[in-house]
Amino acid sequence: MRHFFSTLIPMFLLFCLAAPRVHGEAAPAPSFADAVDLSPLDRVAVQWEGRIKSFYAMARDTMGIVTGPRGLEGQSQVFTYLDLMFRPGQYQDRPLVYLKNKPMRIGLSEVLLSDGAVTEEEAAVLRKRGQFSLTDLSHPDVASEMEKYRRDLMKTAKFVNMARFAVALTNPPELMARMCVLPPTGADESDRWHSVGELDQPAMLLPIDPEIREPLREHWRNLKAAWQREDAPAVNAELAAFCDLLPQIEPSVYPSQKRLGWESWYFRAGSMTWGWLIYLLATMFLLGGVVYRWRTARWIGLSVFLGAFGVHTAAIMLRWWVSGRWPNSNMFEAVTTAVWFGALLALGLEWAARRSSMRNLFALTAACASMAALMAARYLPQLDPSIGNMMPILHDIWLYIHTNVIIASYAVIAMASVTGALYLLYRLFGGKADYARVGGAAVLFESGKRGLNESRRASPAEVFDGATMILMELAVVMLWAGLIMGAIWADHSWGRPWGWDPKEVFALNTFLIFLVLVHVRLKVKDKGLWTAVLAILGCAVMLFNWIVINFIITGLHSYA
Amino acid sequence: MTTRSNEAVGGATPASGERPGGPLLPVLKFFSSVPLGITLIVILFIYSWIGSAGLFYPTTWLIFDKPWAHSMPRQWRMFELTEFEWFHTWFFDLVIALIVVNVTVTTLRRIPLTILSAGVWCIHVGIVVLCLGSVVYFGTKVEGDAPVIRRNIVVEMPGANRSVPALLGNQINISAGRDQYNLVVGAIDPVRRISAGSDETAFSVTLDGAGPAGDFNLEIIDGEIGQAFGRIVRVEYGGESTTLPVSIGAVGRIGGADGYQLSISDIQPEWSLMTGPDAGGTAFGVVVSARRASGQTFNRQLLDGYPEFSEDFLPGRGRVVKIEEFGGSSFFDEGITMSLERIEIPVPFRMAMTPSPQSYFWKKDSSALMVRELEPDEDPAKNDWWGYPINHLPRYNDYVGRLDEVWLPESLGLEPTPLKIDVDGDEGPLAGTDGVRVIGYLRYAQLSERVGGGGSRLDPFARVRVSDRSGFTDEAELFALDPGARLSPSGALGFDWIRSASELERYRQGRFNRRLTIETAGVAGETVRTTIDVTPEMLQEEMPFTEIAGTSVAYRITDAFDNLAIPGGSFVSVLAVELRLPDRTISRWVADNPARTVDRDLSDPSGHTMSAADPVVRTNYEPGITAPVMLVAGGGQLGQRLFVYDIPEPGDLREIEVEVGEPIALTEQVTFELASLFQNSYRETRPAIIPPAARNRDADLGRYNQWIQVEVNDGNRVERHWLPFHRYSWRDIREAIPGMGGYRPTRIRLSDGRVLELMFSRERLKMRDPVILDHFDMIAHTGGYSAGVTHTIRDWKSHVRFLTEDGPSDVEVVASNKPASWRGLWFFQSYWDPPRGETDPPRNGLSFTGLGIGNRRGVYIQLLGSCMSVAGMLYAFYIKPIIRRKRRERVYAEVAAAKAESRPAAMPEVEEVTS
Repeated sequence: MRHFFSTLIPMFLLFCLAAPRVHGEAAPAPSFADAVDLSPLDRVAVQWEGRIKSFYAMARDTMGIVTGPRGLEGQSQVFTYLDLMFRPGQYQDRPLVYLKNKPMRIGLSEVLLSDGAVTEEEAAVLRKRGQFSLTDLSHPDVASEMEKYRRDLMKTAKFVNMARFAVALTNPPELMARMCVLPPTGADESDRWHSVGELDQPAMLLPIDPEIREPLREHWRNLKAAWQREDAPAVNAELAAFCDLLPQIEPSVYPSQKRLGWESWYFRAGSMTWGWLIYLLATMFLLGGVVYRWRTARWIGLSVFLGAFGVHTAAIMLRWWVSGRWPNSNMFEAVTTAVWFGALLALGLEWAARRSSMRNLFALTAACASMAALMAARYLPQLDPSIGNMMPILHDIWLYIHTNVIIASYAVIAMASVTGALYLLYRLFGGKADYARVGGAAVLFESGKRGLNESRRASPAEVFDGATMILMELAVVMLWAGLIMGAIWADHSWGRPWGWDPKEVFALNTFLIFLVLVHVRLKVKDKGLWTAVLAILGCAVMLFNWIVINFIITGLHSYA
Repeated sequence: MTTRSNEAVGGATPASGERPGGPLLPVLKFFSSVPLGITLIVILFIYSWIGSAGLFYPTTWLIFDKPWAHSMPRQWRMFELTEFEWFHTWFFDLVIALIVVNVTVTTLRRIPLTILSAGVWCIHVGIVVLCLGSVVYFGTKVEGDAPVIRRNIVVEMPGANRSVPALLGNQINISAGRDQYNLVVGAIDPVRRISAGSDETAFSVTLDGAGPAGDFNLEIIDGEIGQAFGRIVRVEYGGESTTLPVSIGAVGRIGGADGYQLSISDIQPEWSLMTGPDAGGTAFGVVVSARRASGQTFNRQLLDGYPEFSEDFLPGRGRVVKIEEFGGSSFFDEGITMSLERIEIPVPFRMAMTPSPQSYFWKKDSSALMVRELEPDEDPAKNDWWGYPINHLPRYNDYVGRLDEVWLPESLGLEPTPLKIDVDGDEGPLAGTDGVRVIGYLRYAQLSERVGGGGSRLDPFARVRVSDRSGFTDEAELFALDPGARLSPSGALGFDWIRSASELERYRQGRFNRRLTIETAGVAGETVRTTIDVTPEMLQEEMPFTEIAGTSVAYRITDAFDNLAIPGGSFVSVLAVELRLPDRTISRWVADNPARTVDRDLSDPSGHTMSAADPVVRTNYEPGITAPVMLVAGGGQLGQRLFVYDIPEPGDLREIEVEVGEPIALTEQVTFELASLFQNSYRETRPAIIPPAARNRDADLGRYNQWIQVEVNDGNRVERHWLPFHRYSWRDIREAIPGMGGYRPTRIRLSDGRVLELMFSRERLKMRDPVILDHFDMIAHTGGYSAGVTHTIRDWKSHVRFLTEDGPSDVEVVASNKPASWRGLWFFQSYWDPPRGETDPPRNGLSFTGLGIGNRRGVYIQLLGSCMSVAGMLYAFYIKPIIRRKRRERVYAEVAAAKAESRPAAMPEVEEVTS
């Protein structure tokens, strides 16, 4: 048993350390890109799609649509944005436009290959990375192939439209129109902000104090000219001067520079999803502590877990402050906040189980779940960290009640699957077929041979099973209560408490798995095994709900 | 110590001892079995999975490399069930009923009601109550939606009051004595500013009117009487003042010989406002062209209601404000002022707006045949629809009795599968007929006119395909004798029908020359007509003017443009000619369609100033053979062949014999195929089933392309008709909101002379009190609403009232998450009318709202059951262990006390005590 864990842990560690390297590759950036200082833009506000955000965030969002999650050859998104605007000719042959759909990438790369426009190696890169140049996309054969894809409304039309939108975004006037950095004069926050292109409008249409407007226009022109001649010092000076003037147009509506700076930092820091590495470290120590009952490892693991939770909490709170709302209204937020709830609950359970054989097990499960979730948030392009406004229907108190309870229950389900998996591994490697004599939270109240208190050295199977049951009970209550809260919300929002929407049905299905678990435990002999299997199955159904139902079978909850 | 406490949920123990039972005992035992409960839950799980997510399965053994297939069993032909129906089948109801029985019997027989098992009781009772609540809820559930149009336009005049919904394009015809007025709703402004500078807005409509005294506009602001008006341009210069009517071509002069010659060069009824407080809206715009005696010209743009946006444009140089030398001024000449003004036009009627009540809502996922009998004058607005529900209509698959009644895509293998759904027509307008039967159903089809060969009318038709090697295929249908359809949409392919070998010979000699005809007055006053063959050489060099003998006119051909695509999907070929007259030179674009021939103003360097062709010189242009690929066919020996010009090299000519169905390589990459060719052809219209890959998901969900085929038997004859789906059974076309499925009722005449109209729609239910839309707000986030970007919307609010017998109710606000309740129905914000530019056909936005409407009986029973089950879980999981522990501690304390008193006492088993 110990041998198994001894080999498992280093392998696990090696795998996790290798993972970031897959996405860490970056080509050296051109020297001009290195020399320009774009940091003044971090504190520039842009109004776009109903939100005031930092320029960094807007440029990141916009270029994310164009270049996809990988960016352009390691070049910063802000630099790419400005460079595309000022020197579009430089980008004609660079791998700029990201195509998400893999069959489309394969089809288009084959067209280019058969025409001799790319070599076999280049075609392989196109297939893998999905980044095509504008020249590739304007190739007549590629254009007709795209047209063929566009006609398939069921499968590929959406991706063609996305690609065409991305191509349109490479157009300098379009990029200019998105640069709504000039705040409206007057104190009305609902007024439209103006783009830099409007600096040339008649004074009557862009009523900005001429003492600010003229220098702004001058700096912008100079910036463009300096950029085009790659004069980095001049670019830096003009950009700094331009950015300094912007808040002076209307200080009363201009957002706090501190908030803008933190927003830029947040995105620059990868939305702090690198916290998964700290959870990984915590997982290793906690695993060591749980398996070997090594006291030092337990304390180090718990400390690192607390550190990881601190970073995680900072990320959640920062996002809350920057977006002005609790982060639970898109997929990225739901995933990262769910496991934050899981970690918070784990801390509570650790306190409750501090004198039991289960201590550190809850922290371990939360660390595993959080690590997986933050890794997914960091590396899966489907989890877009962009901050946008919520759909109108989400503006309701039940968003904070129903959604938080449901996603917290999902985190607990994931945690229960970790203890379930540990139980199965233990049994797989010859562990005794044991189980917790008293199920669920009661195990914490019991003493003697029925409980799992320090007074008795319980078998690992008993400990894993006991922890699974505690988590399972929590999951059942929270999931059921969350479903009911969702029904109350749906009743006054959609006019029906239950509409057999796939997302609803699969939340119910997850609950049904746990209902089976509760009742199966009454009848079978090998209670621990069945509990572990069903806990993992419950987690699988929950993930199916979150992944397949969300991305493949759309319904009323398509924004969740 | 035993583990009996674990035998029941949460640790409750079974009742002590089985009661002796009668014949029912095996049944009771069966229903109080835990394995039965588990089995039922597993069945429910599997059933729910299949109904909601369907089946995913690999299509090859490479399960990780190839995408998996997905199938939705409830949509299979054998089921044809919506999600709601899948979860209300007899099987599902049976499973739920068995679960309820199982839970009830188990609880009563096996779980004694004690303080420790109160949690399990609570959970089980809660589940049963929830199920009972659901029976009430789903058994009585009615759910639907309805559009509520914001206003009706009311015309008041003695003896001729009428009203029409205030929707774009609606028409009103008014007779006042011998005067006829025609008004069309031309624009809707849902947030018109009451006055300049004011933040107060109102709903308004502007009608384009035509009356005996000419064209005019009529604006109605909500709550006010409409004002009919015309527009003029007032010009002031050097103390003088003049006006111009707003009409293209209207001319005037101001300032004497040194002043300006003025003309209205353009009218823009919906100029988009890009900036200012109303950015995103539109305004009526006029462009006045002003020319100084020196020949210097500028254009001034004027916008109705926005004098601050007036600005000048210089031909060829653009906006004056952008030209450095004018120092940021918007005007080229600030000495001349122009303004767009309104003048009152008297009309013999009054117009105003009133709320438009909606009395019905349409049931979700239902189907109904709506029928009405028309009066002898066949005015559809006089009678209302009678709804006949169509039960068990399929939803997901096509059912066609005869395949020759639809157009089938090649990829779709469809077997004839007739439907037989009888519509119960004992009452209403169908009474007296032998009934209506639904015999066909199409999930997604569009009416399509296609061509077949045969008949007696010479109408040569060819269907051709051009493919490239990437697999891209373009198909074109060409009619040789139809000038508008003899060229393919790209202009690259043409089709001609020849009658003689000499005509064929012309093709063999190369492309035909273009031909220009000029007709003008000769020096003696006679008409002189000259025909010029335009050779390619004439276009390659700058030719000198050529005098037309006997006239004082000379011409010079400068350029030719073939097959220019123009809005509306047609083409025009143009020859550019300069005509030198004694007093001036005209630059003319002579189009093959004479209506499109125009003269260009040579003083405007941008070339954008055009006017109608000067009638002093009449011109006509016949383009030659302009398509590089011509299909030439004729009857008998003439056969059919392809002439390929200038491909691959200019000057190349190939003649290729063509057979139907045989592909021909035009180049290495492009292949031509003549798919069919008919000398005599006819056109036939049928519903064409759209291949699944080409179906729009939203349209599919909205059922916009569904059709049913009905068979009407009036006792004497049987008629079959395809009826398209209507989301709403509009009473007449003026009610039909553009873009919401249209209005296409089918009219049939019965043998007894009665005329019926049929419409395929949804079941329509009447509300107790009609609802009216007072006004509608769209609340946007920072920076206002961006077209099509839902994230910029914070909320929608419909301010509605209900028309009761005692008059209109107070305003109820329906918004997201904020329903209004009225007499047993709840009203929800469901959909809205987005602003202009987002819909096709265009709407002006905010002129109606969509309300979801439904009842909710049983909800509180469901809620009670749900809360009981949650409370039970909390009790069983978290309270009960504490009670047990306290009890045990008490026992331990008693034992300890007994020991202390030295009384012999055995340590009792905990479970025996606690149970």
